[in-house]
Amino acid sequence: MASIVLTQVSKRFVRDVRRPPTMLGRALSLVTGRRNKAVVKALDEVTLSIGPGTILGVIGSNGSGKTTLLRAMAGVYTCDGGDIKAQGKVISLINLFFGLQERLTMRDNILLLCSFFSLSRRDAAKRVRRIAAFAELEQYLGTRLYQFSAGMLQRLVFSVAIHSYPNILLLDEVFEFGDEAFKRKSSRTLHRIAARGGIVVLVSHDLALVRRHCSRIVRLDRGRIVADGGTEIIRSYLKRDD
Amino acid sequence: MIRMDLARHFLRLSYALALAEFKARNEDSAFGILWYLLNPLLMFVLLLLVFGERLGAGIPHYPLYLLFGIIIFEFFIRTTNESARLIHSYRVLIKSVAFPRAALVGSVVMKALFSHAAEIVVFSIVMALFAVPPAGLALYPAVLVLLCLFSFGCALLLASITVFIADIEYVWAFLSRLLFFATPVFYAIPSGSAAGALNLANPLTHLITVARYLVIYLEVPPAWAIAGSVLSSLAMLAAGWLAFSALQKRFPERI
Repeated sequence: MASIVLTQVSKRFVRDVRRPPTMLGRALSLVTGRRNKAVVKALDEVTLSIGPGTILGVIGSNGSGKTTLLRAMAGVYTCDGGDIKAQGKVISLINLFFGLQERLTMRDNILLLCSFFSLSRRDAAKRVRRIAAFAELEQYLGTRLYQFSAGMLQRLVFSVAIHSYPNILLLDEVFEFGDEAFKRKSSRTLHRIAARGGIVVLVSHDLALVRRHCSRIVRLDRGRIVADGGTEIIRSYLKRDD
Repeated sequence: MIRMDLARHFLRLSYALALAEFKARNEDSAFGILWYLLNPLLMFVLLLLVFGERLGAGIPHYPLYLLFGIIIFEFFIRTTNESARLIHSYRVLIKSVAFPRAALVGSVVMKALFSHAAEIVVFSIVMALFAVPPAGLALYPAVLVLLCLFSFGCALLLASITVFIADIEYVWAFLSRLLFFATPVFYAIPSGSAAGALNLANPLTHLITVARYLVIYLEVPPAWAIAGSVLSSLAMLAAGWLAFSALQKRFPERI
């Protein structure tokens, strides 16, 4: 059974507030005391426990810390404070075009992507046809990726991710693409992952999408969880905007 | 158990990335891997023509001595030069997925091994032309392992530091040129000379010396060269691994 527990997780970023100075500029700033950096709290003591079978929606305005939260859960970011415990195989789709080699065929790219998700070459080779079939791209196995449309690439990467059997699937604005039939198929797959004890975390600005799929919703604001509950969170979020 | 899984994931990913990069680079090329051979072969012909008479006179099998030195040095330079800008070129990947990031550097070493294999085939043909028995080549993998460890360590160090100090890429491009002239690739350093003593600090001298003794001259290499090869390779690997492990946590927010 999958689970993720975040305990007082904090993440700070040091951001440039002015153009990065030259070596001479840096040396002068030691004398003048003029600072070119500012510290931004992207996550501020976030505590969150997600149990098996949950499809969690994360909403919030731009810069509220949604993607940082997802990256912290995925293990991409190391946190400055607190602790994250994830049980189960985590697969993150934060950017759908990561790691693709445009000059290689779809088959070669499937093998490459599978290796990021800890699959052996033999296991990946066994799944190539299934992955292509789910993405509805069977006839393009020998086609090089630069000839694919963005939609085809999205379907391919999503298909590789779900065929790598994640217990915890982290999605950042990368869900519901393709035609209606493919959207329905993807949606069923997410619910199947949750039904067999997995976790799906869906970060999105599309509130209708979050309302449709998520059994639990958290709202972030300036790196803090300000609301945690069901679809009523969306109503209160919309009211705030009014 | 977890460490074994991580090591397996690291090796699989390094191999998959190396293979993909290697294929992608050669996919549209009519001559493919021959382009990798062109650079060392051109360098070999040039240096042989310019220095063969003057510097190679006292060196037995000078053409083999020169070619072997070039391809070993080329392996190191190919690995380290590419690693200096590696992390930035994989920024989307690093910010999207958690994976053993050292595998990116591992893939560069593996990719260099693919082209090195082709260079060794060419070298063995030249050996046959000079009627040098190929038996020594059987011992070369031992030196190659040390060369890989040394190059991997140095590449880890460069890859991680360049994320924080971009100028290192340019400094290394300059230093690597100097290193070529400071390493006895196309000349020999007389033993007991001041230059010889100074060159003991150059790990590539040790590795190239051991390789030449074993493969070309079929002799036991000097103890100082063996000790220097083993110690410098392990020390560089440790330094690179420690630096990379300490700095890689900050890569995603720095790129």
